[in-house]
Amino acid sequence: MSRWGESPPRPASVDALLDPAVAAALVGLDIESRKLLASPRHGERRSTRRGTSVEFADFRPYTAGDDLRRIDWNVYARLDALVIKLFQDEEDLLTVLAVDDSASMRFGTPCKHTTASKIAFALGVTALGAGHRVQAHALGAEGAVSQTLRGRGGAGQLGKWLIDLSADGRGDLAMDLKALSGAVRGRAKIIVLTDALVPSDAMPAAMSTLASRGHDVHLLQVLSPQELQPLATGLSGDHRLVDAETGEGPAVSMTASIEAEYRARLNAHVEMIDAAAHRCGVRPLLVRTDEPLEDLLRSRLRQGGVLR
Amino acid sequence: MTLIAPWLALGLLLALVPALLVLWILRLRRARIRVPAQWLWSDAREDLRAQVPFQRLRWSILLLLQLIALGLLLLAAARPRVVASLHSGGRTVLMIDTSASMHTRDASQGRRRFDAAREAVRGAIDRLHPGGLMDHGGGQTMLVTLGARPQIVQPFTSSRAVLLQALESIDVTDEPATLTPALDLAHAWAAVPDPDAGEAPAEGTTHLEVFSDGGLADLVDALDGLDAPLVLQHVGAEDTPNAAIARIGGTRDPADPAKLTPWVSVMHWAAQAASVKIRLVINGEPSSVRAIDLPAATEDGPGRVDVMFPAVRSAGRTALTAELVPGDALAEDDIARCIVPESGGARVAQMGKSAPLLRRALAALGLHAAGDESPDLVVAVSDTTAALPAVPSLSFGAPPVSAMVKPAATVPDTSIATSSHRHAVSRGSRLTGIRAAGAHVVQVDPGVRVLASSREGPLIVAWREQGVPRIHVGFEPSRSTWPQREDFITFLVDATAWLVGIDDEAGGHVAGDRIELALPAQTTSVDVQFNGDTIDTFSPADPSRAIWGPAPQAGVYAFHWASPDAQGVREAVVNMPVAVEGDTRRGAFTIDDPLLEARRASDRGVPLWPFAVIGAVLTLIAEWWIWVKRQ
Repeated sequence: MSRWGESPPRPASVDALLDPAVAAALVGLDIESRKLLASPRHGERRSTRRGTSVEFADFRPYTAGDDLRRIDWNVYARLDALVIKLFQDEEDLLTVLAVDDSASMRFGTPCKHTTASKIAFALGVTALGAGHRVQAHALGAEGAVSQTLRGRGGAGQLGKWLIDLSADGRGDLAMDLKALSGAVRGRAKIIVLTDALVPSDAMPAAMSTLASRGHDVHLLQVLSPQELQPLATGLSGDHRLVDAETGEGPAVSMTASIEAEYRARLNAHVEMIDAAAHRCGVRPLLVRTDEPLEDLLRSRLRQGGVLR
Repeated sequence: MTLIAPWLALGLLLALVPALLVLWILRLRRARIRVPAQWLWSDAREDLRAQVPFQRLRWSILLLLQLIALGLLLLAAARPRVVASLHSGGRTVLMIDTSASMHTRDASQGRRRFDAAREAVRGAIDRLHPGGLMDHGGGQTMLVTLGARPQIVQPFTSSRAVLLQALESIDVTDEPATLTPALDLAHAWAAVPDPDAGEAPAEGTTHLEVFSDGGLADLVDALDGLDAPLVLQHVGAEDTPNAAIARIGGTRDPADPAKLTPWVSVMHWAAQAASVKIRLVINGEPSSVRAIDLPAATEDGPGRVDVMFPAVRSAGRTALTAELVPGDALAEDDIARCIVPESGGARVAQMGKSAPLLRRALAALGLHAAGDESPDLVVAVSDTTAALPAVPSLSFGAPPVSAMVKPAATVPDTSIATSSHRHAVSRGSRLTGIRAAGAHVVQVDPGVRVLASSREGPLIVAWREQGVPRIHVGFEPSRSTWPQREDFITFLVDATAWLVGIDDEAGGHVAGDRIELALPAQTTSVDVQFNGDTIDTFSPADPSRAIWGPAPQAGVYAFHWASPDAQGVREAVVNMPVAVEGDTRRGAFTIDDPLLEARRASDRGVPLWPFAVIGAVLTLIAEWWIWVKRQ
């Protein structure tokens, strides 16, 4: 029996990141983007730019230099006017999965870091299966970034990259989020998986910076039952609480009133994150680690605009 | 269940339980718990309860289990024992053996057996009268010593303090111990708890507990017809060897009475042979040292060696002291004394059938034929024709005419089955096993002491008839196996010494005996001194004879007599009752009687502390398991 809040070992293989039931739940899903995001590459995602796809977009009068193959000869026959058919250009979508790799994520049963990794892998597999590009970033781990992955073959690489994370980073989450906004070229679907337990007021600014670059940003705040309900999950008696990242901590005699104070502070922090996210266009979602992943993917992430 | 060390447990209880509770309310140790964000607990950090050194004691199954484990350990410290069969309450007579063998220091115990017995009695008093708030003082206990005569040290009382004080006043003696008089005494007092106060007869059962090393001469006989529950608690080791000087004396040469040959008889109770030295002191001066080999004991009795020392010239009264070197577990019987009277032996007249064997034996003892002179002693062999003269007599075969001893039957072939070691005549001899043809069994009056009996009846008896001592042996030595045994001469020495009165001073007394001394006529008072201290003063009922005793210790007693016109001193030498008390190898009691329970005094039942310790360990394991599950 492990101590209160202690996490079980991290998954040792890629297979452990994706249960068959979860894989089955991913069938038919795709990454949702409320914005049409520009991309230098043609992809399967409809772009705001007119391009070369087969999907008709509009007509415009012919001008010298236009490609004669695009003249709509049926219109010319009926109206005796040369018009050019415009088609919707198709771009691929860049999905950025930003996983908090700080030491605070290695907590709870189930482990927050493991849960975040599983969600990221499921989203990555979904995106790669839909033909999008995927890029993974580790927050709090000195800017570790995966290669830009494409195609179904990239799923294995993404899984291995996630498995190799150590969850012992000591970085500044807000700074890493700002750095992330600059590191992503073009606009992308950015899904941040973090506990967001950062005491500073820098989090709202970081989220604002991230969203201001035109990214479609989701903040999945991953918390464990032990954090949400300490007494109910077995934390009692006298303890010295040690911060996972700083190593400091107070002496606490756990009582109902102490827990109430703690939960009030935690709720206030979550609400602050939620409000700040909404202000800057980031869509927040609180995820419990004991929540079934299938339900999360098929229901809450679709409702939250992460998947469709 | 009894607690051997309740006060230790109580002390630990008062010390450890508060200490445990203090540990629980102190915040000395805190488990380190890793949390993702300690800043969320910043308000809790300011909680006063986390800052003060004490907190309210909160209920915990772990605390309960720790208290249970501690309680079990404290119970173990109290050394609990289950003594199911020992009673408590009611009336109890505690009898402690104070006989000579209780001097023995067993190598395995390092203390006297008497000390072990006293501790066992103390334990019994603790059990019967535990004291404290829970003691209702329901029991009545009496304390009796087992010696030559039983003594009530403390009549029935419910006071623990009085009993313990009386117990401390008891000390061991050199006497032999008998159980029968003590049981009679106990029964009498049990029936009427205090006869002096005229109390009504008591109801209910009286329990008897005897604390002894087993050296009770009449143990088997005493328990015959036992009608009250009796617990025999054995003290002492079963394999402690002992050597003792059983007899000491000096034989004068009939042709040259000033020529004195000292002799010593040594008994050895041991499974292995041994070597010792005998140091002889004559009239206070070291005389000689002899090294001897002591044979091992057999089923028939102890090993025995008779040692003759080189003759010395001493015509006068001669004091002999012999000592075994080195001493052993029972040092008190390693020394013996005697006084050989001045030369000029008694005169013997022989009556009845001719007995050349007896004549030669008596001559060797320094007794000579009376001839025409008045005899000091008559030796008669199957003389039934007329009454014996009014002088001491030693008769063999058919009994002489006597008002107190009468013929009962003639047995063609018999052997001596039982003998008494409590009479001066028989204590130095081993009479059992002597086979005789044509033996005459006698019928005796109550005043006659039976020294040996066959299955058919008494064969050797001693008595005083009109003040004249007499000994009768119901068979002729020449028709028995007796002369072939080395103790035949010993018997003749002891018998003639007792008959002619030289035994008064010679050393025929043993501790526990009454001392009888011939005194000048008109003696009015006698002071008895022992080791220079006057221990008693009395006026003799018979002005010509002092009867005093029992003598509690071995040694030399001085009787300072005074008459209206003279005064003087007579001495009596008292030795240890070796024949009864010398055997230090007596094992635990093994007597089959439904009312009898035999146990070792050190055996205070089944110890429970191992079970308490195991219970404590299991409780701590359970506590640890629960603690681990909670982490």
